[in-house]
Amino acid sequence: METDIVVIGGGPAGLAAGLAAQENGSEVIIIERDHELGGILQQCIHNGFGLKHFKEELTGPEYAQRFVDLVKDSPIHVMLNSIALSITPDHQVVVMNGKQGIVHIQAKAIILAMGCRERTRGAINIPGTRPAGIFPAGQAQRFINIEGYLPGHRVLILGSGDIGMIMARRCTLEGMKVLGVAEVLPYPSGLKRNQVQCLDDYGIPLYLRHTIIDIRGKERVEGATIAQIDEKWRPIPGTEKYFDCDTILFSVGLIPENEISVQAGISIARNGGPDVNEYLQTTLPGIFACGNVLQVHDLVDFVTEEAQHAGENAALYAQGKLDIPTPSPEQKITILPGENVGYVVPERIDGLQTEKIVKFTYRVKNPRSNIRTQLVSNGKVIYTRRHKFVLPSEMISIRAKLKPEDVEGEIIVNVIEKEQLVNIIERTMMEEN
Amino acid sequence: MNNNIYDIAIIGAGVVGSAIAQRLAKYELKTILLDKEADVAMGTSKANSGIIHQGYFTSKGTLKETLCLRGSALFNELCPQLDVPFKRTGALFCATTKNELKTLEGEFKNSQERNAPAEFIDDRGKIKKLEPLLKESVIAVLHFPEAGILVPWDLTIALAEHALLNGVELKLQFEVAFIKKNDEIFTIHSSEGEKIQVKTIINAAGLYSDKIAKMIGDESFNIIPRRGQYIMFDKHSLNLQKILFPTPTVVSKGIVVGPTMHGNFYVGPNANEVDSKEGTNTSIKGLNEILTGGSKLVDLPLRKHITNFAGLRASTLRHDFIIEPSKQDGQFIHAAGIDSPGLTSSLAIAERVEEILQKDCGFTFSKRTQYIPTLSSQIRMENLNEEELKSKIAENPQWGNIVCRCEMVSEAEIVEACHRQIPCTNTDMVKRRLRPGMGRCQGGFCQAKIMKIISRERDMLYEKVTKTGGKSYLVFNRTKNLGSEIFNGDHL
Ligand SMILES: Cc1cc2nc3c(=O)[nH]c(=O)nc-3n(C[C@H](O)[C@H](O)[C@H](O)COP(=O)(O)OP(=O)(O)OC[C@H]3O[C@@H](n4cnc5c(N)ncnc54)[C@H](O)[C@@H]3O)c2cc1C
Ligand SMILES: Cc1cc2nc3c(=O)[nH]c(=O)nc-3n(C[C@H](O)[C@H](O)[C@H](O)COP(=O)(O)OP(=O)(O)OC[C@H]3O[C@@H](n4cnc5c(N)ncnc54)[C@H](O)[C@@H]3O)c2cc1C
Repeated sequence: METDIVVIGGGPAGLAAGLAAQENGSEVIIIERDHELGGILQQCIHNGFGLKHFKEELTGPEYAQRFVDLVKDSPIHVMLNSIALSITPDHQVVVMNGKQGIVHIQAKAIILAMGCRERTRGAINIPGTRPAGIFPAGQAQRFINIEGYLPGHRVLILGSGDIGMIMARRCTLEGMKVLGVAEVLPYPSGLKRNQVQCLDDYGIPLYLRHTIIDIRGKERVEGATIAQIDEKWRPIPGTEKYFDCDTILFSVGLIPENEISVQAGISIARNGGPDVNEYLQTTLPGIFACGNVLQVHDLVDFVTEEAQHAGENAALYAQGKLDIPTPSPEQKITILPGENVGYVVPERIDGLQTEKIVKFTYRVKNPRSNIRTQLVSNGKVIYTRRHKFVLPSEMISIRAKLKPEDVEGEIIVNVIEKEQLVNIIERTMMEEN
Repeated sequence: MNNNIYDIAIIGAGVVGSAIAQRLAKYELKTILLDKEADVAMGTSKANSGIIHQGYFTSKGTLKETLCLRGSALFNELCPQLDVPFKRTGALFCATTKNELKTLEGEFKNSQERNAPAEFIDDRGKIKKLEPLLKESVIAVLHFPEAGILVPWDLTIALAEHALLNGVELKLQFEVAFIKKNDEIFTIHSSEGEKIQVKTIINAAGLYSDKIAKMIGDESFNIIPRRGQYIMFDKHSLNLQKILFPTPTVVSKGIVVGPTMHGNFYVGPNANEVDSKEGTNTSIKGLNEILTGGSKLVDLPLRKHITNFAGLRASTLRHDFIIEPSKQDGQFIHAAGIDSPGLTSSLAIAERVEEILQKDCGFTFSKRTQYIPTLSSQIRMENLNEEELKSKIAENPQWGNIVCRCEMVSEAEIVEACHRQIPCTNTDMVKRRLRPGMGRCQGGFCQAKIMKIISRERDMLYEKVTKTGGKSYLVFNRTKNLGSEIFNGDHL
């Protein structure tokens, strides 16, 4: 089988990317493992989606449906119940399903949109027994919203990520008792609005700087102990609190799902997503990435925007019109997270012959207020933007106009106060002299 | 006498009880294997290092020494016969100080006396070749090329299935509560009021073997549980070649960094006596201890762990296996106090029990006429090439439906597991057979789907599908009082 573009994953990223590629003149196949399109949004039945993109408040499935309808009305070919097993650097995709068996599709470009999975209890090494009743929050969400079953009665939640907080409310609404949410950080790791609407409004206590130090129960969870932690993340004796619960939900982060990317030889960046340039092209030409497989998004509206960008570029690439120069080592521009920045997408800029606007998305490590983003290259500030406040839970997105003459070698992205920056510049200049 | 009376009842379907059952299945005997849990290998046999040892650091003249080496040798034939994956990776005991080096030299001599192939190496270049990941601080190693690894529950399940294939009966969720004897016949009573009549009992109840012994008035030993904790790491996060041990101390063999059959690796176990025979919980202290221990040999990758767990050694003050008829009753045979290297020794323990039955219990065995010598394991998608997989899917579309994407398990495989000799009736049973839930997502994506398959294939209400049997329910009532149902659809 042959086509212009194969999109792997039919979540919001895959749908928007596929639509953009199709609108830009490409023949598109979307491959989705599940029996329906929409990705993880199908189980996010709460509202709050689409405020940016549609300027109205939708539920997850409603947001997804808008794109599903557009895809259905388009010539895009969708393969459901089909898993992409592997991809090759020359754009072959191996797909498996029960009807056709194994199909090889030769494409001109590939868009990766596989989403992410949840970090588990084992990944953060929580001790105790291993009975039934310990779930990643997303799995509990699936049980309640898709399967229609209650996963327990008395719930303790570890991690104040968005999914955790939303599940605190969801469990409460279904008649379960949520005893509390424990969070290792000194602030909630999800959005402020979720803290207010999902915890505060229901009187669910949030224990900051706390973690679970023991889980009890042989067959089903019978209880758990949390304790406060010190600066070195060690539990402080005397601060233990015991909860009589039968369920523990973990909402401790998401990890981009990049097994097939890695197999194909794509380099992975520090945040777990593929290393991409300003066209969202991975380290393999003609293979693009967007959505949660690239970076974990807090808002699906940003997923859509990013995916459209990837879709347009993939279409251009497939038509031989995406002119990305292969930069020589001297022309290479690397983007580096600086002060208080966890990661930045893109990781590199491959083409800066003339002045152009480049979009950067990144997250801060610590919350701050009255602060600014500064892009620094060659010791000079080349772009500044103020923020009232920044939070690790909120992805920041900026568009910076870059001039070739301003940039050399690397761009450091800092989120700092003004005075601090002077020091950095001074330091760099001193080092150079 | 009626024919409801069994010749032999084996209490405990761990690796030891299952090995005994498999051994005895060769003969025309009416044998039953009993366990209190919903599956075999639910006790210590599911939480250990899975190493096939070579008699090293065992005391001279002990059963542990002899049975360990004999047991290891028996795997050469058994593993291909029962289709159990097994790999002789080799093990390295590592010395970082002069004193440790001396200890290893001493053990090298012992190994030669035992006829266990071993090699003492103090050349850094050669050490590096054997295991490039070892730290520079390791100055000498004692290499046992024959040491190997297998998945302990793979072995136990295969042994039990093979026994079943040849006429042994298996009764799960049968917790032995007390035992009576009348006219040379034992009656074993379960906690649910069921009864089994039998001539000879084999006590292979692991941590509870002392409790079972006391049921016939035998108080000759007590089991002291000694816990060992582990941390399991993601696939391909460290490409280990060898099983790495520090130099053992008098107290324990030390914290191992070892590869698994599936490309993961683990660190552990430590060793602490605990009060409870159910105390398989891990602790912050224990997990820190094993991370520190493991870091002495290699640089451990950060944040690549996927789970932690613990197992309990059934140790006794005899410091050796107890494999003998009870002083209380000659028709009651102990296979008790089987701590490490019990997995390695299991086949040899079974051989020893067979001898005892013949010599001391007056059994004359006649070979089973319709004995089936081999067992075929389930066909696994991961072992099929593209053409084979294509024809499988053409036959049955469920082969094309991936349920677990971390470990690549298809619906067809899970359906088969629900209908094998020991049918899977809970999600952990499926996990131990096919690995969905053992990967990096730890079941977050596939558990709900596996519950549906079990519900459909075993005709069970969805909410009655448990994690490990008993009351380990995963979900309870339905939202909006939707009512209970058995899943019978195609979309998982
Ligand atoms: C549990 C959970 C709850 C969330 N809740 C919220 C929320 O309340 N509000 C909010 O704004 N955002 C939320 N998010 C984030 C938001 O939904 C995501 O940002 C968005 O769904 C990401 O879209 P995506 O298309 O990148 O990934 P996904 O929606 O995960 O879609 C990826 C799709 O790819 C498919 N796929 C993956 N691998 C393959 C393969 N090899 N072959 C074929 N198909 C494949 C998957 O089946 C899936 O359908 C949540 C995310 C998660 C995980
Ligand atoms: C941390 C650790 C690491 C180890 N590493 C190794 C190693 O690398 N190599 C090695 O060779 N050995 C090792 N061992 C030892 C090995 O695991 C054990 O020797 C072996 O598993 C013991 O098997 P078993 O069948 O005797 O016990 P178990 O597997 O515990 O089986 C006993 C069974 O009896 C059942 N039972 C108990 N009471 C009753 C009752 N009342 N009614 C019905 N059924 C009952 C239980 O449910 C259980 O299934 C290790 C052990 C530990 C703890």
